[in-house]
Amino acid sequence: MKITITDRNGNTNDYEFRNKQKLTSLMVQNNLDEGFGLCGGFLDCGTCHVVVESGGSMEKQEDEQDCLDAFAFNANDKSRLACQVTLNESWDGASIKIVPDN
Amino acid sequence: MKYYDIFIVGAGPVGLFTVFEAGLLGLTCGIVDALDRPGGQCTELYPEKPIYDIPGVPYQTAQQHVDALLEQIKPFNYDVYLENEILTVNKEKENLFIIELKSGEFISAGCIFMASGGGKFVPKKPNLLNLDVHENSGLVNYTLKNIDSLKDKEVVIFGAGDSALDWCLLLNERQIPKKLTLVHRTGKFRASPHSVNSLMDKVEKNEITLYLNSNATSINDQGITINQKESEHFLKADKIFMFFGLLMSRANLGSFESLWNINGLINVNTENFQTTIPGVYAVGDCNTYPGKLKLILSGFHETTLAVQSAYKSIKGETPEFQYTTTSTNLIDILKR
Repeated sequence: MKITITDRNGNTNDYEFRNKQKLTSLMVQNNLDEGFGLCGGFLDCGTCHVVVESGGSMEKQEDEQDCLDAFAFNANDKSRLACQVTLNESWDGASIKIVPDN
Repeated sequence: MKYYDIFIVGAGPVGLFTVFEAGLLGLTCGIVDALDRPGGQCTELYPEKPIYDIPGVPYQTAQQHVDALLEQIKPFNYDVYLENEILTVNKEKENLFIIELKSGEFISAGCIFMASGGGKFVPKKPNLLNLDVHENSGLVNYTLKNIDSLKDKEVVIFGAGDSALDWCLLLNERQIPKKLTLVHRTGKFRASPHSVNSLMDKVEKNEITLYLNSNATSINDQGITINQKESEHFLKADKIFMFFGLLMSRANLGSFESLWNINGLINVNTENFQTTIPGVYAVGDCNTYPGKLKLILSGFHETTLAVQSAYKSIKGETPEFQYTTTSTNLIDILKR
């Protein structure tokens, strides 16, 4: 399965992922994590903010939305926190963008 | 000008352990960090989080880990430059760098160790025209240090996390400001339920003024304008505090900025973790090489080898290899 990610420099590439892989782990593996995920997935920072451009899932827990509201400046209804995304078949072929300055 | 054999950028675990390894070889160290205390991410972001993968230490919280490292380097003399960063750096000749710090101090060093982890922490800021002007004048702040300076002032706090609420409640409890206002972008807080309840109680008693679903739209030297739905409010302010959380940005490297690769990491070789500039090393999470793992223990290994190389380069000879268990020299230094 593959997901398309546009990084902070505006470069777009496809990345292969395993079922149930965390989106943040995929990003760390591929060096896409500069300035990203400060709190380590504890919903304390909002720095792993990504925008889902197509595909994927927008189902989120209340905690994730609260954290986006508090700490992610440019959040919109397509926003997710990468630390809360577990990749599965619904993310195959999806396209996301890392928000340049959270 | 103060001289150090090794000048370390970043006082996280790997920067601190560098002092230990350097100390064993008799090398002197200075450390600079953007934060106001040592410990880096461990202290700033997850002091209570458990760490299970330090060899020989089955369990430690991140803060306990930092405290243990500080204890471990106590036998050695080193200086820490906090709330500071490199402004410029120049290589005068082999084994001599001249570093200018943001504070204005100049330092000379035999070599430089980048141990800057994920980067330096900087506060998140809203997009407001002339924000920098009002930062410089002292109207807008991102940290709160001296609460007594807020006596009888009109204070506006922005944010929805624990920092915003905790400061708000503390200032209210001590009855320091003349007027206290809290502004939040949406309608829900991201703080402990206890803090939220206390806040709402104070709001009900009219001790704290609360604006929800409000954003700052403009600022002048008298205060800040926010919009709430359709209406605009001007909040007169002597001091404004913005607690929107932290971001990481690349540590400043002066004229060596080109060491950062496109992913914001520094390429090193795995023999001695030196960068493409001889005398500049990169250890811990800020470096990259084939097979790199971002683990504290990897950083410890990297800096141990890098310090050996730094010694060779500064002293012109290979350090004598000694075990801390048997070397009488080392035991004298380390024993307690």
